[in-house]
Amino acid sequence: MDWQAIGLSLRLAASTTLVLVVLGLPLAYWLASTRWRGRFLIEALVALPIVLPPTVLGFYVLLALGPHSPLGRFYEAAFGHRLPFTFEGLLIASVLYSLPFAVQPFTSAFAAVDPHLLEASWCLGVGRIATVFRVALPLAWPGVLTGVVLSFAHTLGEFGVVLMIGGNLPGVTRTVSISIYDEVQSLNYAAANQTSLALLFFSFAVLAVTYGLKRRFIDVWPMR
Amino acid sequence: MADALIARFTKQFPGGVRIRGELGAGASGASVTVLFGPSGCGKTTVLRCLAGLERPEEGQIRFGAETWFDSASRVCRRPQQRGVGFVFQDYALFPHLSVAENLAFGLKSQPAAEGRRRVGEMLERMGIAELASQRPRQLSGGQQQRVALARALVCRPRLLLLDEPLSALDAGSREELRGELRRLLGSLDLPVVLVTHDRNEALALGDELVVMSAGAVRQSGPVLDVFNRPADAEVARIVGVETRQPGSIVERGEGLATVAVGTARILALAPPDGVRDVLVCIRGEDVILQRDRGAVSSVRNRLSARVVAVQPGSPLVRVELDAGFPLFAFITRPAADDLQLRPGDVVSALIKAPAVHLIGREMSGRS
Repeated sequence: MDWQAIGLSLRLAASTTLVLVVLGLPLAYWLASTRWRGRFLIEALVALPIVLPPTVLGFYVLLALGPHSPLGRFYEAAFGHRLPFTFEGLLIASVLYSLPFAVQPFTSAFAAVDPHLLEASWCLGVGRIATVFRVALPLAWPGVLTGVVLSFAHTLGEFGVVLMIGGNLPGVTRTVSISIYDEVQSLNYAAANQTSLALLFFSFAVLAVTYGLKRRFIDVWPMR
Repeated sequence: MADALIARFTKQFPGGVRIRGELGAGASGASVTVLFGPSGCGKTTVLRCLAGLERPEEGQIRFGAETWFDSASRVCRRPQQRGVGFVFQDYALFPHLSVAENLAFGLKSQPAAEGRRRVGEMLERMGIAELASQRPRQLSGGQQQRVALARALVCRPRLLLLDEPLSALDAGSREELRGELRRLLGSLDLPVVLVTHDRNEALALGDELVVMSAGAVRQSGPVLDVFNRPADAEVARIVGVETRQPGSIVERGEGLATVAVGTARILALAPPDGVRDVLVCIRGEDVILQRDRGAVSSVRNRLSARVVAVQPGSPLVRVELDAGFPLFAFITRPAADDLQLRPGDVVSALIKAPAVHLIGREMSGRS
């Protein structure tokens, strides 16, 4: 079993999820509360990775991060190395690729919170950001948890984007799915099977625990 | 001494009617101003603009010496900076917090001991101390209302805004809580603005009345003045004057006027000189029905009327009459039992002259 690849995949999934929580929660809160008419454009943009082939996304991200783009040049000037074929480059790509799996559950969770509750909080003198932490998040947590688990699991299984951006550098960008693909290519079915089984059981366990917890808490402690 | 609220603004939603808010509250000390009108007339929007939950396009909202909103100088204070208490129609209690935590929600900036003391006092005062550890969904509608009021009041607002505070309750507890709410509002030393579409609530809870219709304020003044002397036909309809019939003045003298309505003539207090065509407004409660024709009384208008229909209701029975013009009377159930009214019966309808309110039809802008 390729423990190095499993470790790297877990690290990538955890980092991606963390970034998505930090960026995705404010974006989702804004999407759920804005009255702006152009909102549908942002929603479509966020949902794009669901329908786009990973290779297409990976290709454009590769171009955007590469040495010929302003972003790529800026990064190289600031940090002294290029983004493609590094862990950071991979992280940026997987954040984009898993964006809808975090933002969509977050948004529907926030949208389900009665706006009167937020307004009641403002009228009690509590600021907008404090209201998010004291009212919106405590009421939206099942949806937030769903988004966290989905983006973690989705990143764990990603293949096409990794191949396009990260390549296949052991310990840097060689994730579980790439490792399995390599083993199959070299007809090493036993090793491929071991790693695949591990990934299968781990993914199932994470989802089962999450849905079990959610179901239990929602049954025992209904919010409305 | 409570500060006074003065507001005059317009708010328009895309594709919606233009809503013009125009009201004052608390000018004569702490008092309850009722925003009254049919559903969808913009009352709630006006209330939300006062709280800072909606931003009007134009106008001003001032409270005491402060400017809360001024379109000219682009001032718009956020809800957090206005110090208002807002009680929502559905009460909007935080479902994930206990009653005590709901009350303490807005007191986080206070020292913890002070916060606990104020929550404890408020729980006692509102009679909800035994509910302190319960969650909102375990409470009855009336209890939720008390918690919502307590949560707003514990933050010591300078202005209290109530949106249809009784409409989420069933009919029985509504009656009961109306009196309780009136006593509570009367005991507060701050101006209150309350929205309702219910006449009985407006009469029971309000000191001042602002009548709204189709996004505009039609009339404002002390509650009984507006109910008894509506300024135009629309207000008369909204405040529930049952009889509204066109008539014309045929004779004037000694401050009184004789008005021809249908085939009948009735005596009323004379309107200003020059008014000839009028709308005759008579409240159902001001019409007295009698069987015997002989008794002498001071009542000037004694009309012979035929009963058209009797509609039993609670607590009043609505009687539709033909007195030469369609006339409606509200009588109590025992009175209806005594009179044994049936369609076709002929009775006497007695109406005091001061109870007949005349609206000049030139001013009403219709017919």
